[in-house]
Formats: sequence, structure tokens, C-alpha cells
Amino acid sequence: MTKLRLLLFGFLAVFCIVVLRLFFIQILHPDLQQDYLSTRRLDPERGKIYDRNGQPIVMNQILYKLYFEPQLIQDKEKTTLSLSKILHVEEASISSRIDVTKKWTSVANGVTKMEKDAILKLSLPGMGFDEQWSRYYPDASIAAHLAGFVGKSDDGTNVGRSGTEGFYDKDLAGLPGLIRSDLDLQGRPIFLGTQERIDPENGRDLYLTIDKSVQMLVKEKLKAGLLKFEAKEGCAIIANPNTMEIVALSCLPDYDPTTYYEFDNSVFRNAAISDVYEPGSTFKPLVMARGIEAGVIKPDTLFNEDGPVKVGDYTIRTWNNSYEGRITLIRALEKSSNVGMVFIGSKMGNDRLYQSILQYGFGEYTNIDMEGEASGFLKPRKAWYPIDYSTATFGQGLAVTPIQMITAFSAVINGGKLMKPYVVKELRGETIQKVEPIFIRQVVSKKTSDIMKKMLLGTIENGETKYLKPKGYQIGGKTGTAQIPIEGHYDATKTIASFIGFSPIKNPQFIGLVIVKEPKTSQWGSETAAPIFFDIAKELIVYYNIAPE
Amino acid sequence: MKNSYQKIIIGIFIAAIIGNITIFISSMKLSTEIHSFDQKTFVLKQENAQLEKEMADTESFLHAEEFKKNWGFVRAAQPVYIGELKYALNTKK
Repeated sequence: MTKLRLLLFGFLAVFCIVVLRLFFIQILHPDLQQDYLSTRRLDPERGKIYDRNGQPIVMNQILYKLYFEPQLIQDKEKTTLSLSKILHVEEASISSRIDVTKKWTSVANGVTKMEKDAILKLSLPGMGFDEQWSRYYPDASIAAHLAGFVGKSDDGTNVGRSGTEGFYDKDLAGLPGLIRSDLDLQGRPIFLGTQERIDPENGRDLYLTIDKSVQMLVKEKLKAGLLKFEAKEGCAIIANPNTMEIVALSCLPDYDPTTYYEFDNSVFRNAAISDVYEPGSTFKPLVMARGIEAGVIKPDTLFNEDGPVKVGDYTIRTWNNSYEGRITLIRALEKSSNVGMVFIGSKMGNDRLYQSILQYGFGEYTNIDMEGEASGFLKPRKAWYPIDYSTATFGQGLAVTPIQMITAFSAVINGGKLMKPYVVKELRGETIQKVEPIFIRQVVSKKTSDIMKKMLLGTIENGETKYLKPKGYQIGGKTGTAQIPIEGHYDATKTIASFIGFSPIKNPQFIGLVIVKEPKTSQWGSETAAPIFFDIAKELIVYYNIAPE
Repeated sequence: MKNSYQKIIIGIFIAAIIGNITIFISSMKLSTEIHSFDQKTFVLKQENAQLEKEMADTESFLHAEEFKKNWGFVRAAQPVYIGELKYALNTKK
């Protein structure tokens, strides 16, 4: 009996000690910051972005946030000096962070692993690191507008902005996980306590239709061209005209997505899909194709180009004010005759012309899978005056986006199929989702398309300008020069020069649109945008291993 | 009979205490292992990301360009004689 009592007293004594200890920990000295049941969010890894050949365009990297626990810092001067040297930051800005009234202060974001290791070697007390996932661009700004960047939302979480980062943000972001567990005093999980874990679902990787080599080439040629022609801005798009896969897209000036916050908001705008311009003469083949399709004109239809044409109070002239008398429509396209286009417009009639413009998809979104697309601008039908129908035939008085223009032009040369442009060909997560080309509608017949290709070859072979094109190869295309409308009138000194071309003629493998805004050396598309296109085309012919025709 | 009961109860108590301590120690060990695996997984993830980054760097055009410069695969720079403008302006040999 005595033994049992002793055992009972023993238990009671231990129980009292436990209760007293708990009273001491929880009531007398509660550590409010110590949360025994810890709930932690597990961040998913954001999906990466690759080009069509699996070459990385956007990756992830771990950087570190350096923080101080100021009360634990022993030698303020040494700490400040050492960190200043490693992080290349002014001493004053570091020492200002050592505020002994605070328990924790953030010192620097984006500390690299090398910098972190160098700091850890110093074994200085009172500092620590938090991991931060951030985006990494192995080729810097090679596809800045295409890829977009990752910024911060109001609550500080990562959010994709512009380009594919913006459009596919939900796919790239993934789903966060959660971990709930009881922790002991040393922060280790207690196995017998609460242990719940929902694993995060990493974001899906994007495989773009972009070819990084072509992208690099296009960007370099465009940059060189803009410098040479002293232009304000420029854009170049290369696509597969049969599927409307975008192979390269570059607009300059662009920005470095790593340090996007150092740039003005205006450079984030992807001019290829967000800006509108008057297409000028590059629009002519579209109208001509629909005229041929309707049967109201033929390529060899003759018309009399005997001088300017009067439409109401307005006079329409050719670009060089020279007139050749009776010529065919083939010649009219070669010499880019505005008068010839007004003739075609009159043959088509206003209704057919307006419907043709709608058929090509102008005035509506192409629904390309990038954030920030504009729909262009097409006046409501009621607001069209007779002069509008005339100027529309040669691409003035309407505003289109570059992506609309290249999509519509592709339809003219690919057998008449209007295709939806796209930049992502595959999404890879636990499953692979392939993106197939989307056919929208038949705009012209294959026969008309074949006729147009020959006519567009003629504009290069027999046009006013002789281009430096590779021998033995056939390239079709059309130049365009449009004045910039400012406050209700056109500024004669400022133009948007463009060129749209393709090769080979029989079965086009690539189509390219080059736009040069406000070139100073020459205002004409034939002398600015076209040479940039031919520079790109020469390299593409080699890259795609295209046989001479 | 009474003695036997007492012995059984004491035995159960001792077994319960030993069992409890064993389970507690095991759970501590398991917790430590979980914690250590979590840490190792995280370090592996970091290393993986670092290696991926290095691979991407090696395959990048910027790296190729640096490589090209180091090996001299570049167009030789044309000297410009700023000090003696007569040389700079004289394009004929």
C-alpha cells in the first residue's frame, strides 16, 4: 500500500511540476511571437517559358532578402562596412537600417547566392536571409514585349504583367500549397501533433512558337535599321503564314524585364498588338484580292491613269504625281497607284469594300494570346463619307494594329485562309496541352491567292525601287508609307514606313512585317522598312534552308 | 489475489510509461528526420534552380557572344585617329 501511495505521490508531484511549468511558460512569460501551431503557405514554382526548340527564355532563380535583427548586432561599424563592400551599397543606407528600437528590419532584396555566401563567411551576428523566387532572363531583353514581366500586386504577391506573363498568369502561377503543423520550441514539427500538408501545384511551362535564333536576328536587324534610318520606334513580326504561328516579334525601344521598375510605363506597351497605325499602301493587295475574288476586276484589267482623281472636294494623286496612261492593275500595284486603287474601289462598290475590310478582321481583336491587344479603329458605317471609301482602298483613314495587318496579309498569300495568330504552342504541366492553329474563315479562294502572290512578286521585281535581294530567290511584298494624322490633318514631315513581304512564292514559309515610325533619313517604306526586311529575309532563307525558285 | 491485481496494475503502469516514452522518442526522431528531409529537399531545390540557371546561361546568346569575343571571332575594329584628324578624314590610302 505504501509503495502504491508513493507512486501516486510521485505522479502527483510530476503532474504539479508540469502544470507549474506550463503556468510559467504560458501565463508568466508568454512568447507571443512563438506560434506552436504554424500555418505556412507553400509557394508553387512559377512556370518557365521556352522557345519552340526548348531553349529557355524565362527561368526562375532563388535570390535572398537580407534582414537585420538590430538588437543582436554587436559591431555596427564593421557590419556596415563589410556589407557595403559586398553589396555595393552606400554605407549610409545600410547603417540607417540598424535601428535598435526594432526587432527586424529588411536591408536588401535580390541578394545573389555569391553575395549571400560572402556575407555568411563573415559570421556577423544579427542578420539572416529569406529566400525569394524571382524571374531570370538568360538572354536579357531578347523577347521583353513577348514574354512580359512579373510585377507585384497591391498585396505584394507576384503577378504577370503584359505579354505571355500577363495572358497566361493563372497557368504560370500554379496553386499554392499549405502546411499546418505543431512545432516544438526549436521549430521542429511534432509528429504526434497536427500535421497537415497540401502540396503546391507548380505553374505550367509555356513553349512558345517563337524561335529564339530568329528572334535574336530580327531584334538585331531592327535595332541596326532604326539607328541607320534615325527612326523613333520600330516593330518587326515574322510569322508562318500558313498557321499564323508568330516566330519572332520585336518592338523597339524595349526594356530589361529584370529591372522593369526602372523604365517608363510607355515602353511596356507592345506596339505590335497595342498600337494602331494607318497601313498605307500595304493595304492595297488586300483590297485588290477581294476585287479579283468578287470578279469585278482582273489583274490585266486596263484603266486609264491619266491624272489625279477628284472625290468630292478632295484630289487623290499618285505618290510621285506621275501618271502612265492606260495600264493594267498588275502595273497599278507595281507602281503603287492610289488612282488605280480608287478605280478598283469604284468597281467594287462601297458595300463590298466595307464588307471586305470586315472580312479580314479589321475593327475586331485577333485574340492573340498576349495581354494588351487593341482592336484597331474602323469608323462606324454611318460615319463613312465618299472620300473614306476612296482613301480606304489605299490604306488611309483606317487604323489597324500590326498584328491585324500581318494576319490579313497572310490570308492573301496562304490560299485565302484567315488564321488566328498565336504565340504559345504548348502548355506543359502534369499533362501536355497542345495549341493547334485556328482557322477563322476563308477570305479569298486559293486561285485568287495564287494570282496575288504573282502580283506581289511583280511589285518587288518590277517596282520603282530595286531591292538588294538574294539571287535566285523570289520574294513577294509591298511597301507602305502613311502620314501620321495629328489633330485632324496629316503631318507631312512624319510618316510610318512599312514593308510586308514573304518567301518563297509557291509555298510561303515566312511572312514578315517591318514598321519604322518617323524615320529621318527617308520617309519612304521602300527606303527604310524594306531594306530591314530584306536583311532579315536573307538570313531566314539560309536558316530555313529554302531552295531557290 | 489482491497482490496479483496490484502487480498487474503496476506492470500496466510501467509498460504504459515505457511505451509512452518510446513513442515520444520515436516521434521526436521522426520529427527531426522530417525536418532534416524538408531542409535537404529545399537545398536540393535551390541547387537545382542554380544548375538550371547555369545551363541556361551557357546556352544563351549573351554567353555565346562573350565566348566569341574572347576567341577573337569578331570583326577587327577600325582605328579612328581622333588626335590627328587628317588621318580620320583621309579615306583614300
